[in-house]
Amino acid sequence: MSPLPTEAATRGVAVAIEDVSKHFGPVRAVDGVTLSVRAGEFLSLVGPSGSGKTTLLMMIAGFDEPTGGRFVVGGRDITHVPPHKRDIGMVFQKYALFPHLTAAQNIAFPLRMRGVSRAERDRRARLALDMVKLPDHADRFPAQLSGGQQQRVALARALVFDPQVILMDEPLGALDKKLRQQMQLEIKELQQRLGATVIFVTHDQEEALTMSDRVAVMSEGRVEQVGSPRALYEGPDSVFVADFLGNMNFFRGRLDHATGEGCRISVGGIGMAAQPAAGAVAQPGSPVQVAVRPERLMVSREEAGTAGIPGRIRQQVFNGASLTVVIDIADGTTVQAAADARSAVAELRPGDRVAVGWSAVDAHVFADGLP
Amino acid sequence: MTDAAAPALRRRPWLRTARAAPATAAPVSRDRLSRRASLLLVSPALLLLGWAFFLPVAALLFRSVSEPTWTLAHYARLIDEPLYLRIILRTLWISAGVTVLALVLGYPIALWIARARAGVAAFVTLCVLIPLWTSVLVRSYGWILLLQRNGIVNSWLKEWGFIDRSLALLYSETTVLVAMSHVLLPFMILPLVSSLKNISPDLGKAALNLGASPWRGFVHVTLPLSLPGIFAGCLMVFVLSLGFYITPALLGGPRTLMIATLISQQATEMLNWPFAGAISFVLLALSLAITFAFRKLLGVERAAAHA
Amino acid sequence: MPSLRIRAGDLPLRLFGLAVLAFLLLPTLIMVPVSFDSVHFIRFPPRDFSLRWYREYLADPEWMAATVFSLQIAALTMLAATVLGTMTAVALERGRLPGREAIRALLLAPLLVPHVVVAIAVYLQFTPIGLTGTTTGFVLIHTALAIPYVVLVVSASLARLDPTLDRAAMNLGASPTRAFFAVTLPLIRPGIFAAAVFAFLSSFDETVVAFFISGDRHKTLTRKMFEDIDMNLSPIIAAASTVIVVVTIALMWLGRSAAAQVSK
Repeated sequence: MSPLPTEAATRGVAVAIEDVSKHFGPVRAVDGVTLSVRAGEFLSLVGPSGSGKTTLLMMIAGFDEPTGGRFVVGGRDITHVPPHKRDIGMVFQKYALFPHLTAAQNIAFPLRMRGVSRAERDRRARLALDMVKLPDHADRFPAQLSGGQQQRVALARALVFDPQVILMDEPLGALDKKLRQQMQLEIKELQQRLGATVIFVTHDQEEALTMSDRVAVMSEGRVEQVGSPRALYEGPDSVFVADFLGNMNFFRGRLDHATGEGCRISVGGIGMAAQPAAGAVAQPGSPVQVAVRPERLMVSREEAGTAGIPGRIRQQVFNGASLTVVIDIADGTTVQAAADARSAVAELRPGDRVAVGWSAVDAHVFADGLP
Repeated sequence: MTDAAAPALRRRPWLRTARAAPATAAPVSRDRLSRRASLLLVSPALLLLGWAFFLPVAALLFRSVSEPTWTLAHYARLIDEPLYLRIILRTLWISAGVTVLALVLGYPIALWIARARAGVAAFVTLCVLIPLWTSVLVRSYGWILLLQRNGIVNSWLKEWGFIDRSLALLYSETTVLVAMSHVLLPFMILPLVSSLKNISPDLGKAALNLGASPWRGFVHVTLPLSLPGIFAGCLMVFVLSLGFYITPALLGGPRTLMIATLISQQATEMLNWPFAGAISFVLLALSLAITFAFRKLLGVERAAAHA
Repeated sequence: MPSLRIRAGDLPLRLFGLAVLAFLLLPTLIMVPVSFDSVHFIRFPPRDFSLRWYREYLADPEWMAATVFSLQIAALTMLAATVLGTMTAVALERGRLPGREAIRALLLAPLLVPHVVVAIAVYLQFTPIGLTGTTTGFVLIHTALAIPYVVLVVSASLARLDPTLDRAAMNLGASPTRAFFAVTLPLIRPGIFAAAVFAFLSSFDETVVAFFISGDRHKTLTRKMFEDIDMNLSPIIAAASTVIVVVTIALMWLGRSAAAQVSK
């Protein structure tokens, strides 16, 4: 195990975001966000562009003043502290490495600003370079480093001064897919080893699911839902979250009756079991949407007596580990099912009639108010 | 990239970002004009420049060593007579002063333009461009209106009771220095703006985030990264100052003779053409030498642009 | 990033900036109010509004002759420099030219040589053959001095143009010459227009060469102003200057907008 940049392991602190808003004229970029990040937690903010996640991050770093609300970091209200006195590390989207300083000088920069002696700076910069596996690149300028190496230097620079919190603004966006996956694992490992609190902004929901302890899904300046990746994936509270994270099929139907535990719905006249999503209240008889993950959709050849929604195979796509079948169902909706490439589904051909079904626990019912 | 520039670029690779001009390395391909057509197209301009520009300048310089006979006497005179040496030194000193003054006045403006929001930046830029576009003659005349004996500044000072009798504000070295800085200021500001605009605003934020106060962030990040712009602006202002004619001729007195005014005096009043040629050679040599010396310093940037 | 923009500590910097802007604009525009005053001496702010000096400017045969002469030279220079400079830029950017960089350097050389040197050299060359004080002489030297600007501006427009457009035209059956006239030329027209404006102004504004090669009868507006500034400083100069300032700024604005259009 490589040494830590400092003797004391970096200990992240808790961050409380309390009812924070940012208005640009009539536009509410961030609209009353309350979130608490636990010490040592890796929390991702995800959402489509314009959802307010980057604005929120910039306000935590101090580059933007909130219109309302406050930030408490490690018990201290930092809402009005200037950015250079916040002690918050940040990895910028395009790294923002100083092009006129070497890798080592870039990493030593925050220490220099804090009056650390030259010898101590050099020592800690070297340790930090070891930590990000670039011990031989101390004297390279950013222009002489590859994208992945620049990323590591930016990471080392954000960690070297033991910040209370580390912010990352889509830090992996500029890397190609392989390198991105490798860096995801490295960052995660480093964060766990250092016990750092990380707030990570990304628009890549897969990345958020892979790396985070918890994910906050943002939309139009608000937090839609916060929870562990698994909880969000398997129990979305809203159509937006269901749609945004991972692939999702939506069926339109009607609520027949609901009990405390589950409910009965009908899709195209076929009665099915499902469960209402948290907070999604609908009156019996009202239109609903049922969300089911492709890998939870059960597809079988339609034979006499098969239960399920009838449909017809439109297309079959092989994608390595799995197989996707595209199915047109009677009301004109198109859904996808993912199956093992060697399962019986592989035998289905375009044009075949099939029945589509699911287990009640995998089907989330939302009131159909949305388009 | 030239061989000479390569090690320099290795030492300062950040200059690569200073001017990321796309290199239009022209491959010889079928869609190019033929060699004959190309030569036909350039020859009228080259002939005109050859006859109306290169030939006269060469003839002038030639006279400085060939009249009355082959001689270096005119150059010897420049060195021997302290008056002329003093004029050359004064020109260098005023040019250096103008450069420093323009840098000090221009840098904050350039920073303002680079950092302000679009509307303000456009307004400030316009305030820089209007003087640039306005004839040097008109602007020198503006200074005369302000500074002459019964000019605007004197009448204000009298009205406010600071002085009883008009001050002689014109025809001094300081006046020439200030007016020339005014005339050349846009040439300092514009290269500074383009180099400051090349610095990503993220770098300033990163410096703050890493604990630098705004001032230290400026000193450690913005200032060093704007060095290419500082070099370019200073080079431009200094070289233009060396050969400046109109402003010193109108605002300067006999005590503020500079090289350009000396050339004109020797040519038109003394009718000493060979000597005027010799001084012209010195001026030309100084301008070109400084341009190329600094270009070499800036060479990396240019090499990077052509790489 | 409003928090980066406005800070209490910025105030001195802001005041300094405003002072420098005043320094830039005051001597540049001071003649405008002065020219509308009615008195023979200079006062600021002016206490009344009159067109007296403009009337005198228009009525004075010498000022008028100089103005017409300058406009004439500038128009001819614009024509000659734009044509020659554009041809040159096309050859530099799109031609097979031996020693391209050397030729480019030669063409830009007038930008590096102090005008006073050019002025007396040209005076020496032109006097024996009777070209001083003539329209021909002025147009020749002003064109030589304007060509670098035209070459720079037109080359830049050509360089920004996507070369595949040319290839597409040829692929669609146009000969290289037709491709140039049908595709390239229309696309760089704003650049050529801007270059023409710069060429016009470079001649109209030119003072140093004009000072040396003007004749007693044919002098440019700049030479006339230079003399009068040295001699009598009448407010007519303020009126003439205002005319120059307004024309220049308007034309530069046009030229710049045209140049900006090419980059789109």
